[in-house]
Amino acid sequence: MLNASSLLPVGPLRFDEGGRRHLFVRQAPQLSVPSGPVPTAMTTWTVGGDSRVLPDPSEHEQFFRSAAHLLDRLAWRLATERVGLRLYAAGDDTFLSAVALTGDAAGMTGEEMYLAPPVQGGRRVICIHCSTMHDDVADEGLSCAGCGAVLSVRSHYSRRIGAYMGVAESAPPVGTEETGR
Amino acid sequence: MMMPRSTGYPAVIADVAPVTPTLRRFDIRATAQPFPPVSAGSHGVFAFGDAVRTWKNPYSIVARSDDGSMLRIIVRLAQGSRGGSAFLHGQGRPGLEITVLGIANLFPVVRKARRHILLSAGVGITPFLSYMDAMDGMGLAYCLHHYCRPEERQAFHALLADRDPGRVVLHDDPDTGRLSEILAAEPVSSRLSMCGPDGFMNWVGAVARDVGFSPGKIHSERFSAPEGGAAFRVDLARSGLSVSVGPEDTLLDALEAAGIEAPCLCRGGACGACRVAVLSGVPDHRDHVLAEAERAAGDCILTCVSRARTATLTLDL
Repeated sequence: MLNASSLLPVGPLRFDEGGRRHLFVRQAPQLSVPSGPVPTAMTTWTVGGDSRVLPDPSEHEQFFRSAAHLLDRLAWRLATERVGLRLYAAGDDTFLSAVALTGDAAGMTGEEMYLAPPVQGGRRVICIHCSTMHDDVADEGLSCAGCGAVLSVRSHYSRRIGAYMGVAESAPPVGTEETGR
Repeated sequence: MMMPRSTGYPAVIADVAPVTPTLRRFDIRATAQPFPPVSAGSHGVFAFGDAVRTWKNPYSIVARSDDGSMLRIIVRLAQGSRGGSAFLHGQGRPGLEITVLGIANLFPVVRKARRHILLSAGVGITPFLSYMDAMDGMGLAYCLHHYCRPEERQAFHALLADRDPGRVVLHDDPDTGRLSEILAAEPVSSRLSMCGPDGFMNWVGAVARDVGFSPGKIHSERFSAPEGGAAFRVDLARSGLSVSVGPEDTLLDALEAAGIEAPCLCRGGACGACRVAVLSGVPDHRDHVLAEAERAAGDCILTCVSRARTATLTLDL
């Protein structure tokens, strides 16, 4: 179905009773767990931000050194996961985008993945001209760190790329570009 | 519809073989132009009959030859139906003329999924015979679980003899615990597709949801063999005609026989293309398309399978 707003789909987290196992991944310990009755088969993965942290699989809450560490482990877990898992994520736009990409790559659908509203206002933006990624872009425009183009951030999130589209203001509409070059 | 309804693809039965006592396989050869390409999960509407009457019935297309000269279907001898399948089982011999009126796909393979679990019962295996050919070609992982009666096991075993035995499992005992184990062992990426009688699909759907399949990953094809019922009359508000629908006719057949260009596609209550507004009278809904609220409102009807609870219906035709 056409999603006219084309934004990263986020909303308040609530446990999905249709799931049989639930995994909540969060970028920081202070981010709250989904609302509703806490299912028995529920695990929380938290980015601890401490290089000495190592996940302990016997605990209901496991800590990871970094978001990259958690996401790496998430991809591995989903590759061996069985049907019935529901995935919940809380963090900033970059973290949520990465979780969505990981879930999509594992064959999960939007009905099985729930993303909390990003904790910071900034968005992840790709320059569509040189593919440079920019994290935590709070404004509607920026100068591309890769090619220097003045980009305007469109309200179009690419689920495949995992970022919003940054388009050079000077790029002419299709059909109006100069010909003969 | 890929062809105008009035023409279609002329063809004849080329070969007939029994599959089980109630299932019969027909190979149908095109006699004019070749059949169009057919994607896995497609059905055709097949017109056939004798001097007395014509049936137009939808059947899943099991296979199409590479050169488009042949289509294969499997027809179940339906109890309490309007006699089309009984005619094919009784009179469907090589040489019988059959017109393929149109080919459509309401049950395509979800190509983006890498793993598929297919569940069928009885004649519901037919779309999956084409699925398995397509999935073999696309390199998709799948496993078919087919449910049959104990006395049919040998026949289905023979039907599936040339398939990878690691991808095909026959069951002659609908054991909920066993099905639950099978489904719960599927990877998170798995999509479930099912085809069979309503009771079978309700059972599989409930077990699938119970092990945590999300609704969007459960795909099904439900066809209704249109059943007969009490005769009724439809008054057509636009054309001013009145059409009688006999106990053995479908409303759609009766409209077509009266020369009305009524919309239609699947002729099995599965697609919704034949929906027509009801201006008065009470429809007897028998389709798989309308939502509960639409049924209760009673202001529309799917002419291919549904009938009337009142002696007359007035339609916006």
